Amino acid sequence: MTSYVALPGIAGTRPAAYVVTERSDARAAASAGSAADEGIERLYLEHWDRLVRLSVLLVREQGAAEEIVQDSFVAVHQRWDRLNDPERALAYLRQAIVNRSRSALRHRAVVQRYLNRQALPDPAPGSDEPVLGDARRGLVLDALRQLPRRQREVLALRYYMDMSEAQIAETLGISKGAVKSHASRGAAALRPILDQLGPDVRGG
Amino acid sequence: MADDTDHTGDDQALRRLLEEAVADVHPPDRLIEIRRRTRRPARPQRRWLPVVVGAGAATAAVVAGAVLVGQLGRSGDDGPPVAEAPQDRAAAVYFVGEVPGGTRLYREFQSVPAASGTEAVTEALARLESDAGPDDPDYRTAWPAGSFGAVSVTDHEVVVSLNQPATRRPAGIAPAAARLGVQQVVYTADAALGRALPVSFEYAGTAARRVLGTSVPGPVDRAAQDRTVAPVNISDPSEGSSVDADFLVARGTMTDGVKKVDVLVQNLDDPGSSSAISVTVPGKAIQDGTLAVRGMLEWEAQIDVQGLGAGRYQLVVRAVRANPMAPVPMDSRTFLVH
Repeated sequence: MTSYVALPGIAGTRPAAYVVTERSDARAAASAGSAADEGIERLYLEHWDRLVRLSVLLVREQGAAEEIVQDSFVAVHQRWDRLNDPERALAYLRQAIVNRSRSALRHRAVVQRYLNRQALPDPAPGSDEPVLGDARRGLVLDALRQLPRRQREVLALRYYMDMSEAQIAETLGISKGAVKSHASRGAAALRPILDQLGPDVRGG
Repeated sequence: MADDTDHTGDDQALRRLLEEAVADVHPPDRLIEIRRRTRRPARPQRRWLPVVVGAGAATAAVVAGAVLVGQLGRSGDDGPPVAEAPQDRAAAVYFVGEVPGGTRLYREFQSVPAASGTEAVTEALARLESDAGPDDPDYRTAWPAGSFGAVSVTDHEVVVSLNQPATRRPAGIAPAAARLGVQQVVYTADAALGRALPVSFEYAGTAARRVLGTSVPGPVDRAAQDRTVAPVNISDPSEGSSVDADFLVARGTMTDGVKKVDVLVQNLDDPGSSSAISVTVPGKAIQDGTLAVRGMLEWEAQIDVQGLGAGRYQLVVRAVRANPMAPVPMDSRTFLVH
């Protein structure tokens, strides 16, 4: 909530002067509203669950992932008149989710740096994480978390979202060659888990 | 779909691994919440609410964090703002926006962790990357995610290391906006430091020759404000701020070619009552610390919101031009009264 503090030096007041009879606000665009609402609803119905899961792969914590994806839907709505195409809107949505997931991790790092500077004890380990009913899920998410950010993003987009190298390159703003090398390093890092889980994931 | 992924056993196994890792994630329905946050006003309004405004010239240009963090809200969210931690401060951050006939920088205040010197510049520049970006949906940034690396500050300059995404002009960013993007960094870094220093860009350990696809021959000075910054700019409150006090303090900048701004408040939920106010701001030169500020003024208005019911309001500030046919530079913000 706003905390009001009197500002010094405000020079004086004037009463209301005239009535405005025309609207020049460039942001009106009310007619674009319903198209945006419908477009967002379609995207939501088709992609909400999968996009939240994508964000879970990136940030791990489900509550944070839901917030990130919800914020991204709102951001797409705000830009709908500029996107105005379901494919472009979906591409923008994926990009927003990857970027906001990265921001969330960065924010965690900022908070952690602050806590370290204050010499406070760490917060209870894992207190912001859901209890993992499935040990395998925890294993994979832990392994993803250990990866460099780009590798994690490329693996999630390639193997979970089934995107092409060109699409991933565009989403992350990097070259196709970089996508290839992040993918191969990331896959190599996860190989021990594949070996550990054995035929369950390799078979069939 | 993946047109260039191979389908070796490992690829199939990785697909299954990631699929299973999140298979039990069943997010609750949030469509209603999304609809609530994207709700638009039913129809444009033509009349304005009576407001009482006090106006005065104030310091502008290199503006450090002299703003109430409590006025910083969350973009697009009409719920209560998140309580700001006491270690946060407001940073002036510059974004690209439209003016009649071109693009200019607009200033926003954003909440960042309290810091000074190099760390303050680092935190502020992170806000320019597209994964952070402006709160106001009318603004944009020229800087892709991951643009900035290390920052160092000397007595004579700010040195910003760039990563690869920052060297090319991003898709959708016009050359003029890319050139303005370079000034986004200079203005934002100077604001974080409270000093006007040139910015040197480095890439891969040497001086960067191209920044956002723009040729940069050496350290970049602050470009003249009247050719860089929007003629009229609302810096405060931020988009989506909540007000629960008797007065809303609104501030921003104006070029000295703008003799007068209209400050208007519009009820977005109720097209009923209204009128407008015109505020004259003295057009005199500004001094901010040791810096003489040429070509810019700051406007400031204290708006009485005691008579306003709970709801969504829009603050509009428009330049008053001598020629009534000329395009009117303007800026607007949504704020909430609880």
